[in-house]
Amino acid sequence: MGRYVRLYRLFVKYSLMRAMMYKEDFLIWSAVMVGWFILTIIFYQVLFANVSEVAGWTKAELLILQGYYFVFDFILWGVLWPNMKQLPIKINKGELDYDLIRPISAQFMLSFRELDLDNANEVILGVATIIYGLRLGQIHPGVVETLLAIMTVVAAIVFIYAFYFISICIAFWFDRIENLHYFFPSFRHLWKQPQSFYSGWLRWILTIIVPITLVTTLPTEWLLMRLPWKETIFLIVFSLVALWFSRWFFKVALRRYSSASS
Amino acid sequence: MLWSFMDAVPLVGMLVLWLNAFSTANTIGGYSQTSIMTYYILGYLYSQVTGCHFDEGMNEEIRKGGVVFWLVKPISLKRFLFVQEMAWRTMTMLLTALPVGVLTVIIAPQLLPVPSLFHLVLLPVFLVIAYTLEVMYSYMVVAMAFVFEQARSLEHLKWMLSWLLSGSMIPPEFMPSWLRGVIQWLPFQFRFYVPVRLTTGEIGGVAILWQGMLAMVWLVILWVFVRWLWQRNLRSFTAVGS
Repeated sequence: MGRYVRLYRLFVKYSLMRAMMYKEDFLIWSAVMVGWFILTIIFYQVLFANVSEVAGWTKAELLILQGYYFVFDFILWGVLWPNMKQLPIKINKGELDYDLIRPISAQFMLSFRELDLDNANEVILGVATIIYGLRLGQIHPGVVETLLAIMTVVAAIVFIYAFYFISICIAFWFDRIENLHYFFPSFRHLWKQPQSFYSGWLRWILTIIVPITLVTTLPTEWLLMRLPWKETIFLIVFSLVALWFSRWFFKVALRRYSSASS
Repeated sequence: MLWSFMDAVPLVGMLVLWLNAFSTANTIGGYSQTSIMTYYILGYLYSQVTGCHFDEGMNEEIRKGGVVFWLVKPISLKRFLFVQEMAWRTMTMLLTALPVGVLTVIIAPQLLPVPSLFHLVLLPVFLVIAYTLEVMYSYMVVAMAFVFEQARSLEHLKWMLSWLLSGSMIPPEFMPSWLRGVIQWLPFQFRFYVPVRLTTGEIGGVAILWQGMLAMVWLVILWVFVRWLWQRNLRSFTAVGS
């Protein structure tokens, strides 16, 4: 485990060095992220200028949820996407050997080697939005609630990673799917709304089958002190099972792989 | 097919949000629940037809020097991109817009209004104008990629402006009056807001003529500007080993 932590620290260091090598690039992308952030805030400002609440959710509460959305957006685009976009290409070109022969988990190498820190400011913007939402709604969560909110964030990250990786492994079965790495990220639009916004079969699917809506809802509900114990336990168990399944699925998928004389 | 599915997910998210917003109000900003659903569904269908994405791939080609392969061909790169994107749009229309439209008619026919013959005739004209304007924005982004290494950020700038000013984020009626005033003079509204209002019959007579003239003026301005920018930046472009 220690070896993996040290290695990941090196990945972060290397990615940070690379980001700093192209300072203009870094600054421009940071500005772009701020732009998207401002647009989202404008949207909610305009919406709540016309309504006082949306299905029982106040502006402050929805802003907290949006804050988490920004944090997960960085996990998706900054931490996972740079690696996931390369996997189908490597499979297609038969270049996976370099990762498979290393004396370390191939799944770890393929999943976490690169980070795109250009949009790292989303984490700061997200946390700032959460704090602003808490102040606006005069919400004061206790230490336990805050820790449980952090724990659900970790569980949600595990869930996002596992499902993203599983969806990418489908590339082993097809010769060429160019846009596969955009497939899972497109679902982020669904966790932009709280779970209670969905109803009927859609809610059932997005909560039980693939608990996408719990990603942002649960940490928000902990900060709002609604104590969603059952859903939290479900998400943690689900995420761990999904992580295990991703490892099993990767091993099965690897049997489909053949090298191209590398 | 994958793109079609992925493009529909944001629409689902948006519809879910608005359905809930209307759970406690009959009208918001002059819109009823049905009219706001119609607004986003129609807007989504038209965006699928008029959207332009070739700048995403071309920026990478230019950065890596692969664009040389296209520049030496006996066809104008701009013309090629225009036609190639049009083929994509036709496919998107058949694989995405049409199924979603048919599905909506089956599930909730009240969400898709039937335009008058007058509006129905004008609609394709406005969609072609909207598509051509979108192509112009993409040309600008590609032209900038010849001299600017991080033109991908300009792609995002294009999408940001389009999202805010076309009416796809929120109908302009919800926005502050000063921003509404700005939007009605800009060309972005032709991608989303204008075709939707045309279909619902909320633009008529003189207003259509005014919108048509504004669109044509923007087309001419952008065409002249793109021509100048493209030629100027292409002269500055250098590639190694391709």
